[in-house]
Amino acid sequence: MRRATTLFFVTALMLPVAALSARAVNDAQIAAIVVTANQVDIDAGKLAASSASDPQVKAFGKQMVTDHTGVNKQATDLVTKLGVTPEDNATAQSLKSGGAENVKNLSGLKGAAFDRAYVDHEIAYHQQVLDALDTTLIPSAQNAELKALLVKVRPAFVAHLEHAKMVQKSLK
Amino acid sequence: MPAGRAMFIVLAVLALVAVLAALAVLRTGLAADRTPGRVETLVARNLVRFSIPAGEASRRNPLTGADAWQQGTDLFRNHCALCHGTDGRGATAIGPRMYPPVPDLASPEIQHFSDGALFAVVSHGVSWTGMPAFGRSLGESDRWKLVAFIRRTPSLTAADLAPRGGPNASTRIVMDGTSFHPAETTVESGAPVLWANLDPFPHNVTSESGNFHSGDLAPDGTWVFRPTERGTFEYHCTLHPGMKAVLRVR
Repeated sequence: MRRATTLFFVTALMLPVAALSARAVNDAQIAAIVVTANQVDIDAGKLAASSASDPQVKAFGKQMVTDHTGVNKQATDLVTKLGVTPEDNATAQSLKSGGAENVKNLSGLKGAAFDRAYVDHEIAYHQQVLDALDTTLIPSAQNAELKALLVKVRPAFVAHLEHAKMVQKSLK
Repeated sequence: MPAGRAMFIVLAVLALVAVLAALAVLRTGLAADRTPGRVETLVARNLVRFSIPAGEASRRNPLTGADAWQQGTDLFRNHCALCHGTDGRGATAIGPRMYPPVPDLASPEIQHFSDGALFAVVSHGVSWTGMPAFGRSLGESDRWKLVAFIRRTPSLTAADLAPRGGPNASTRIVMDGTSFHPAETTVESGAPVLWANLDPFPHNVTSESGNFHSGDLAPDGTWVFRPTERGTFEYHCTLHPGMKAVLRVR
């Protein structure tokens, strides 16, 4: 049942990101998407850092907070420097509501069930963001510095995905 | 052993030492241009050893890292080499002309001292010799670095003692885009290697075999390491699986 719930939320998160690839986005929208995507994972990470029972999951959650906060700071600094005002859009909003639902779902779980649900979601989330980076965000970015930043942070998402898969394996 | 008897033995030993010292002075005067005899050297060495309280002599060097002695190299050159020589062997212009002569720190007699005893000697000096006390001029961690260096003196090589440049002179490896650049680096043994984290989140440098570990480096953080063990070392960032590189030490 919990698996099914997790699957539901993961699927719910995938929809907006999948829809993203069909749409062209401008730099202001990319900025909003990047900031929101990071913020969503920071919120989930904070919850895991305090509520996870497995020390590995706790540490992973903490690292997600640190890493995504760092990326967000750099993204915000760049956007400010470029004079771009992040433009809210359907994708950013869906990411936001998907993140809120994930946090709500996780808040109802405890112990090993929480750990599994959080890690499963992290895997799906990072995979989806990677797909979005490759199919939409990086190809659509107009400003060279914005594009460079996306390219620079992409490997971190790969590492997070690998890391989450390792943690998932160790939980079984 | 009753306290009274122990006290008697200590007093007797001290009296004997005083008599021997007085005899030595009567025979030779206070001149320094001679070589101390075997008995005098033996008595003096043991006096130094036994004068160090057991609590101090049993202290362990808290710097357990394999590279602790390297950090002592520059300190030794600046504070000790005038008398002891950069290699600690005491073959300086001053060393052999002192009374007692400056000892060879690599010799078994000195290496026989415990870490804590060496630390006590560096800190408090040795009276009636030229050895000054560094307890007030050098911090505790610097004195332990010197102890680590003294421990290393028997196996020092010329390359170990070569003057080192600042961080600018070192081989530089950057951590950027969650990878090490370059992914393969070759350095001479003892040469400094600098890692710089250019990513907006922490990374670390951890060798697979456990020889070196930087601890987490914050954004813009750097770490300098001077590898001394020769060989090929794979290392990675424990926070980001897949972030791997190789360091070859010739």
